[in-house]
Amino acid sequence: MKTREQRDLFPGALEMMILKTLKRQPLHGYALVQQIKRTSNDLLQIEEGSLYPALQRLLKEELVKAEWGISSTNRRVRTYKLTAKGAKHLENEVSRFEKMLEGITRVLAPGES
Amino acid sequence: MMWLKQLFSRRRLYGDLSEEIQEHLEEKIEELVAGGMSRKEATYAARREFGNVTLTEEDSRTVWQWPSIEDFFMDVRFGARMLRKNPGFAAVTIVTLAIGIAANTTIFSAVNGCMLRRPRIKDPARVVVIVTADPAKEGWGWDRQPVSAFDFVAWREQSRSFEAMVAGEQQEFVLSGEGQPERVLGLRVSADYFHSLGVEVALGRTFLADEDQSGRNRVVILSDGLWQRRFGSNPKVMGEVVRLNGEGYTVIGVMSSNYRIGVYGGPELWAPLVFPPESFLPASRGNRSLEVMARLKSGASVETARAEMVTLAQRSEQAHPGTSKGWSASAMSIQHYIADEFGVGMRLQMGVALFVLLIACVNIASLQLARGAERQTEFAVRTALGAGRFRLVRQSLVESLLIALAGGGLGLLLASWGVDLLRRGLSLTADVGSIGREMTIDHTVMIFTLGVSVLAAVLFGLVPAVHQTALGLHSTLKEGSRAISQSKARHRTQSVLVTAEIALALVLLIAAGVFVQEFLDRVHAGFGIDSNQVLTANISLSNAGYKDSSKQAAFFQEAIQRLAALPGVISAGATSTLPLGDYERTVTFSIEGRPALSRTERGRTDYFAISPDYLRALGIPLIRGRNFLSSDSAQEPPVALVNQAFVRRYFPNEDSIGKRIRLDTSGLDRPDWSEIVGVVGDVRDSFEQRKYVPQAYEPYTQKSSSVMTLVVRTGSDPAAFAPTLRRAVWGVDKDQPIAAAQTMNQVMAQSGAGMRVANILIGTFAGLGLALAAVGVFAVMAYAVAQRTHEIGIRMALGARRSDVLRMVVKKGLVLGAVGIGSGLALAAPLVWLKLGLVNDDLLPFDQRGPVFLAAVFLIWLAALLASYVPAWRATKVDPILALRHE
Repeated sequence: MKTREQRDLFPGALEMMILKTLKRQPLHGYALVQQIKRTSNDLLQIEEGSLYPALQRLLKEELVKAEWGISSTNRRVRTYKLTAKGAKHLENEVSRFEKMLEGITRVLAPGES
Repeated sequence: MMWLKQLFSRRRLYGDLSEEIQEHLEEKIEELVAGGMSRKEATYAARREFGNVTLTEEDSRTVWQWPSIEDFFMDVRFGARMLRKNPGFAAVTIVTLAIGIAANTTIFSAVNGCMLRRPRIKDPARVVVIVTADPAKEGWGWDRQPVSAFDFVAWREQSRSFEAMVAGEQQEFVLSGEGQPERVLGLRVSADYFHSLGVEVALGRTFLADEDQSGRNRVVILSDGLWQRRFGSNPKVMGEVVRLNGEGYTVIGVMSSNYRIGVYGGPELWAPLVFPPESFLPASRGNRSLEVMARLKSGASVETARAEMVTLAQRSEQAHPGTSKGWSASAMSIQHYIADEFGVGMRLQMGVALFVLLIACVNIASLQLARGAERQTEFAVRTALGAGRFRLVRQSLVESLLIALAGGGLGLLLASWGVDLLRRGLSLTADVGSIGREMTIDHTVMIFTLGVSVLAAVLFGLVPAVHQTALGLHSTLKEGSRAISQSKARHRTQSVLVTAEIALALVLLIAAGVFVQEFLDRVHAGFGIDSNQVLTANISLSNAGYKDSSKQAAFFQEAIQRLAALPGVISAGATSTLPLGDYERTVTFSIEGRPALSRTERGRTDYFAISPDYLRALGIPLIRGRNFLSSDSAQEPPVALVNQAFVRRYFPNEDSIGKRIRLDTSGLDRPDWSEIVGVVGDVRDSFEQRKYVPQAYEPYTQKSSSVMTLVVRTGSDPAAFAPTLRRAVWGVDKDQPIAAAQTMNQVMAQSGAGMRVANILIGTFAGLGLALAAVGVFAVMAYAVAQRTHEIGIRMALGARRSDVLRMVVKKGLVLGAVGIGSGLALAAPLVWLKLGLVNDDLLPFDQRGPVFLAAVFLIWLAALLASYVPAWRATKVDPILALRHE
């Protein structure tokens, strides 16, 4: 059995991507998976086994909210929307992530060690 | 309040989640179908890609939960459902456990009442009891003897470990005045006694510092009980004068009702302890009668105090070798002192009860294993669905815990009944009776029961839990309901458990057998007296008018004469110590013409001061020589009688009659020698004692005693004679109280009551242990037979006869029994020397315990045989066709 840590890039990465994707437009679970896959040029494959627990965590922390509706394909779907709190959280996370990425990049940069 | 809202909206949340995931799958499938797959293929592919739907749902739900608590409640709900679904299993396990727990709770309630209660004094942990140790080391309690006034005063001054040292001395008082004269137990105490112990009175005051001076000491503090009973709780009694032993005492206080130190019925009044000048004469140094307590100084510990007491005792010994040679002193914490009084016997019973519980636990573990076979598939399926092993073990333990709590509850009910029975059994005897009064099921006992239940759950739950969950998932599911290798391992564990159970039961049976054997031996051994149609009544002359020894003798002489003259009386006598009724009095003695020895080196003998007709009244035979005569008065040369044991020990090869002995009945060596004029039969001192010990008698007219027991042999029912006896005594002195008159048979029954109750207890426990072990063997055999139905069917189809099958199964049971008996005997080997907590070490010779071991082995063997015979017989009823078609 795989653990979440193995599936994720790093803790919180999945949540961050979900929030970012939802910021562009509200989506339901299946569309979310497709969207992330597409945006990342198939580099990132989200597993449903991680997606749903992650969505529940975001719901619980009120970073997103969910509503039942009808999709474009005329299917009953539960659409997730970013809340104001979620937007703020995303901003913080992204800036933190960028700092971290910058640090990692510098360390990995050739010729400076 | 967010969490609260979540708690209530959760059902909807979960519904949403399931639906959402379902829709997700559908969408995926549709897309795949649109891409050209068949519907069926698409469904498989979607599922494969999605992964474990249930687990995902569960993981998602977990986000909303407090997982551990919720899982726990779920386990509880599930466990309860499992028990409801198997009422037979639930009933057997719960009742089994309840029996084990009830045994422990009952005994613990006695331990709690007697050994664990804290004395109601200030900071009892800092209070020690000062005891002395008798160099003779004979009898029970030789190392916890009281202290002499002489030593007390010296040690109080010299010791450095204590803030204060106080003494108390028991004394009987006759309380007279309005109503019938009454004997009450009093305690004379140092003036600073209550102050040092930190005890407050409910009314009035405690003693003043100078009230232990002669002349100022006529003050008394009443116990709450006496104040209620005798004075109707009237506060006006304060300052009044009451008559104690014919002298006036002013009531200055009433003790608070919850004050107590020891367990045995405490004193009913307290008066100051005054040391008369003669207590410090050399003659009185050997007179040890003070119960001494001391409060430790800050910085001092029980250990340093003990070391100091040893040094102080050595100093006393060097200064006064005549009376203190070999005597040492010690300090022990008061709680330890109290607990030790009951020590051995209660520990034995506690151990026995624990064995019953162990057997019960092993039994349940074994039953759970058997049932585990049925649940194998269930566990395998749950593992397949993603349950972790820890989760399964926990589930299993929660089920055990449910059984344990139900068993504990039922056990508590049974125990309250047991406590009741025990209390009734103990009420027969005065001193053990107070144990009974202290026995209740209070919150300490309940907490104990809860603790034992939980512990038991772990004990009987862990083995099956680990066992059940260690399944090869694959093989279990593939092989359907019969996983051969698993059932083999389980069976092995079960056999080990049952073997252990048999071993435990055997140990229990042997312990009980040894105890019963000792008891029966004492019942059947002669007492040396003829107790039928004898009435006894204890008289204590504590009134001030009887201080003179000739007055005491005169009183008893008059009383005996009046009694003997009454119609229906065959003979009437009196003794200073009633065998089987009172604690024996032991004195040292010298034999004329043999080398002089110091007191501690001299021979010892029981001592009685009696009237001439006492021997006849109690039916003690005169073997040789003559009895005392009424002419053996104080003016005549002193005479003595000895028993046969005395002769055997001290005059083995010579005629004892005509020899002269000197009995040390007081602190000083007497100048006069008593001539042995006769030899009488041996009498047992107490029920527990089985050997005869040396006994010596002197006429009460020559050695008077203020306390004697009247012994009257009547022609008809002795109990009906009690009022007549009372009238006769009151004819001599109307102010003389008489303790309850008892027939000699009652006295003997009381003497044996403690041992009898202990016997019944240990016998009951052993019986329960045996029954539980038999049930255990039965369960294992029945399970084995059920497992082998198929095999037996094949055997019979191939021509095995019913007797072959019967033999096969019974043999298995007997092999288990044999292994259990073997290991049980190894465990029980130390019981050959079991001391049983009897008052003295006076036991049957060890080699006589062999038959008990044999009988116990036979009983266990029989139980194993019976328990395996029934399932075996059932096995023979297997119809081969049915058994095979079952496949």
